[in-house]
Amino acid sequence: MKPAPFDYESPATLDEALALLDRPGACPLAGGQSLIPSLSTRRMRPDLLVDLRRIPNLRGIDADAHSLRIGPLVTFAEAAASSELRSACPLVVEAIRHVGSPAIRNRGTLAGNLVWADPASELPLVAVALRAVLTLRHRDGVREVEAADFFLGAFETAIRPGEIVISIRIPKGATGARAGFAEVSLRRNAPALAAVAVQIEAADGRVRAARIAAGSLQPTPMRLASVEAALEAAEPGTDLPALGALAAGQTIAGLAGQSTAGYAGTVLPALVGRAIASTLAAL
Amino acid sequence: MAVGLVGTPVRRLEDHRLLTGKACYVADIVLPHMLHMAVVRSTRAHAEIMDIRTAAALAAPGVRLILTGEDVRDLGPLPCIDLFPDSKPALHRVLALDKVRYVGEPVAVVIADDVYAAEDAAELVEIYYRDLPVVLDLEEAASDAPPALLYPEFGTNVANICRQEVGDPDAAFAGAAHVFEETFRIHRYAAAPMETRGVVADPTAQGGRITLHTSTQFPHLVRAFLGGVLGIPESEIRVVAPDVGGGFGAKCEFYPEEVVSVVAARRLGRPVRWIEGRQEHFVATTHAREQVHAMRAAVDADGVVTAVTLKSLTSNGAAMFTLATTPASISSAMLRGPYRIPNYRAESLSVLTSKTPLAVYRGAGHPQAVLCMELMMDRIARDLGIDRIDLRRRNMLTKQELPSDRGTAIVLAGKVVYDSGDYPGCLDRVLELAGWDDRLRRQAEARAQGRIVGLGVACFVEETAIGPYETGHVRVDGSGKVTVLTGASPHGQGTATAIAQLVAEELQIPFTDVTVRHGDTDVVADGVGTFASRGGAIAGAAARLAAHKVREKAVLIASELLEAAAVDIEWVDGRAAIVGVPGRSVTLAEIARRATAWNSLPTGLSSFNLDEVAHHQVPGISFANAAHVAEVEIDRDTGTVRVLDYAVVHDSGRIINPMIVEGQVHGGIAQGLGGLLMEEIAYDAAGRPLVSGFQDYFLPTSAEMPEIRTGFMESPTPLNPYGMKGAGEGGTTGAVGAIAGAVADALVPLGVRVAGDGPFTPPAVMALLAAARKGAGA
Amino acid sequence: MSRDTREITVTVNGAPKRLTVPVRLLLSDLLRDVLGLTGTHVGCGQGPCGSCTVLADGGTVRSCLMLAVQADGMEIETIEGVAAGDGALHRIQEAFREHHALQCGFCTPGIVMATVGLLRRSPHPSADERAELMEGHLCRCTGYRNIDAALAALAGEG
Repeated sequence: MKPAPFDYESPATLDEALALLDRPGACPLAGGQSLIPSLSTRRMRPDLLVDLRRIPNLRGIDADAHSLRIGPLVTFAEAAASSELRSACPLVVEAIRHVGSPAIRNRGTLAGNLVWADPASELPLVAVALRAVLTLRHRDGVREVEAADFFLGAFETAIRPGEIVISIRIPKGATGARAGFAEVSLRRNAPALAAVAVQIEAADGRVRAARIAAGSLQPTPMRLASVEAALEAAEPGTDLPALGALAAGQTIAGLAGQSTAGYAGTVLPALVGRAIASTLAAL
Repeated sequence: MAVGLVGTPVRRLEDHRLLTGKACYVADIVLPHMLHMAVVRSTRAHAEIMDIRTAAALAAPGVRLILTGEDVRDLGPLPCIDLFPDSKPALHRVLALDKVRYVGEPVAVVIADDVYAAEDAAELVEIYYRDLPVVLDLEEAASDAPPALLYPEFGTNVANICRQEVGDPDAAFAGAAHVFEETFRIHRYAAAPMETRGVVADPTAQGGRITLHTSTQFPHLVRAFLGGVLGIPESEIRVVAPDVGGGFGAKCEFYPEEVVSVVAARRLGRPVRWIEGRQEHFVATTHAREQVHAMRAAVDADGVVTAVTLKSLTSNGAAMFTLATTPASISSAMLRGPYRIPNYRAESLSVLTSKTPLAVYRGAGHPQAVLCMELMMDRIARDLGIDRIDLRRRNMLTKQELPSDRGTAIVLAGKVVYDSGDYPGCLDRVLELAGWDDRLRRQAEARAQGRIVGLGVACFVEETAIGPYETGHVRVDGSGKVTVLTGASPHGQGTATAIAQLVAEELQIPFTDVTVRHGDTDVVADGVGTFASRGGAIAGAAARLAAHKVREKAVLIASELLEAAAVDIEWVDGRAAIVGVPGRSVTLAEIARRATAWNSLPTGLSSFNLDEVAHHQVPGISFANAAHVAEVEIDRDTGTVRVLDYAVVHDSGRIINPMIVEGQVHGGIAQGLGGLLMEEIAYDAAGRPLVSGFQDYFLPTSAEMPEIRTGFMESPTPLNPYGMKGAGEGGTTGAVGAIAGAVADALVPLGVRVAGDGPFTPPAVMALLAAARKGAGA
Repeated sequence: MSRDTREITVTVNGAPKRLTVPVRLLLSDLLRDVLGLTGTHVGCGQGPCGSCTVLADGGTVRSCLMLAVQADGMEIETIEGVAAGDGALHRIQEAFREHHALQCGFCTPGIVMATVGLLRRSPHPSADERAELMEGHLCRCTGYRNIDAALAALAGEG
């Protein structure tokens, strides 16, 4: 239960970090809440850890007119305390309540969580639901990847060797956007057996925009476009939670090594309904 | 004030050091020149070892020594103490030799300068295996044509068979109005104390004596076992159980690391430490529970259960560990619980499988027995249309029927003769505490609304406070303070506080004047340990008996000091006083000083010092009992089971400290709840466990725990001089029965018949519901 | 131990320390094996159990999930720094004792440290805040009800 040997650098600039990360076997270290346990069990054995903590300007949450930009060292605790996130992207704050436990949230970063791409984790499905865009930096350049394209499989993403997430950009919801998150797990603070994230913007009794995604169903988060469309098309007075039933019969690619994907499919309609209901209760 | 101290909830003496970080667990021990051990474990469930290459590992930085099975081939296997004469001695070796039989079996150890270097080198040990077929399924393993024999020399995977025979079950079945049959499946899970196991083996004491610091529940037995395996006298061995972070039975076993660390330390002449990792823990420390019980019940027209037969299998894993037969033995001897059932036959097989060895865990075989019996009672009641409480009352032994020789016996512990208790009274009390009738009414309302709510009740009788004996040594020094040496080896139970209460009450002194020492075989010459709910009752009795002898001796000394006849002296507030003469008294300190060796021998005494030893020899098992009621609700859409409410009435005889006993009950219930709802060690088809730590083995958290209302009854046992029975395990035993019963009850209207202990995870419950729907549709 | 080492400065229970540590050394091992502060216990080494919880710059962290080098420049507080110098229990510790909120004591320092952190932020924590704290701590002995009672008492309830 002790890490295998590695070299360690904590560069003071992003350029230095990117140069170091270009070496074979290099691995970035942000909060380390997924990485360090894997080092301790030696499932992960990087040659070089590049600790990002001394690099300036990786910590803040910035807003422009259309989106929020979350720096790669922003922790779950910091994000949960952000009033801007709470008002413009309430789903992020709602989902964070289900991530780990307080001590984990004090150290763990949103970017690190996305890069880890655990199919049972809450943040990836939030990123997909909200159409987040990840900015990836490599010493040779920058590129942007939509969250939906970022997750390739369980613990597998589009990130390439030498790249790090430099920001997570989330389109702002309209003022008054509300969110709901529903999850089943074996107990408090256990990985989700099934999870649904919902963010709704409503006006005049109609849903103007709905964002819904589900996790733990398949190796990557699943956007529930049919439910989103149904919510947006619904006439005032419609029983919106009942539209969760549209999530039934989703094609589900079994989660490798997990026997619970079938279960997740079974409970999905009810969970969608609950997440919608809790969203509406917050409206 | 010391009078009446027993029975009061004084706060614990242990807490200050535990709360301030000053406790000393085995991982906290640092010795000069200490080295560190890593264990290389089998990655195969069943394989021949073709070759082990250690050259690369030996060349790694900081490596001092590597041992493999060849290096310890002359050492005897680890003992199993509950085997009977015709058992197959399928015993665990110190390190695997030629063959491995489960994933996690120790194959080699690496000793290095620090634990990081030891783990680095452990990765470099190359082991070449040739796989053999694995035996995972219990019924297959026990069959006449198993997929493999773990020990071909025995010709069977059945290590032994516990048999019980009472009355004439065949005649009872022949005359039965109704016969019920059910096969109950109980899954594999684990004690999982928060502190893993660990050892520090120190060979540096004068004269080459060995000191083994180990996280154990029974240091004196470890000393005996270690001496036996190494072939050295016990006087050459000191075993110390320092602060121990929970055991629950898993540390009531003798483990290979307790031997191999000593071998390595002696070879190197330096202390060697090994601390089990949590991932390692789930393959290297005994598992628990896994059994299959095929049960039949004969019932007459009035709902009286006239006979039960049982054929049970226990998945003991790849070797018989220290207390490996006990789960099968207890579950077969105790199946009938508080119910009369005059005719009974059981045949309980301990079966070898390609898994981590399985032995005792809080409740040992009781939880399995209670689960089967209580689910069967509910089924009989349901099928015969009898109220389930009424059915239990009809079959329950009354107070007037006790003592009752049950005709069964438990290996090591002895004959099952229920000593005292009021089982129907206990049931009545818990129904009142739970508000049973009201709950039934609300359940009906909830069901009418489409909610899935269930109520479970479990009544049980439980073996506690087993022998053979325990020691107590009470010494008063010249300061008037009292030191108690006890053979118990508590690890969270608060036994030191309980013993201090007993001794302080006897001597009528503040209990904070009493220091209780335990766990060091050089300090406490003889002892048995803490397991089987025996610490407080047995060690407490021994300590109090010793304190009583101290007091008698003190009176004799005081009679000299006060120049009064002993009969004229009374013991008040820790002083000897002359009856009716105010002001004429001497303190315990004065008496102790008079008895020291630098004075003359006090008149009429044959020994110096205010210092007495007592053994409490246990004349027979004392049986605690309890009744539990659980209410659960199941989420129809997700299958999530939530325990809404819990009530328990517990009777473990005279209570020393109700706060501590209640704490034991609470903790026990949490473990029962965890086992029923979330804890499981499953294996894949190749025999690899699917658990790697607390990230995939889920203990309950605070959020899952219901409010618990606890009531007590105190039926003193005649088998203990102070009427005390044991209270350590009942919470778990009852919770398994009550929660399983509640889940089963909840699912009855949905056509689900529960015949096992789950775990009732959300996916498992949804699968039960789906199967019932399919069955109904077919 | 490891090839690579770094010099770090860390304040532990108020005392500044300058140390050269292997880069792979876990913070829990720094505290326990290098500094001798063995009151911080490692129950799982993977994060879920919470026994190794300490305060870093006032916030709770898992010391098994941090490298010692990551603590460079930080202020770490452990259970050894909670009680008064004369051995008198802190009121949190007193509440745990009073409510019998511990048995074997192995998980206890982690829960006490989390409580120290919570009460500093929120002197009268709500039931939700207390429940959130307990999400992060496993205890195998107590069944939690008495821990919850101790926390409620500290919050001024019960």
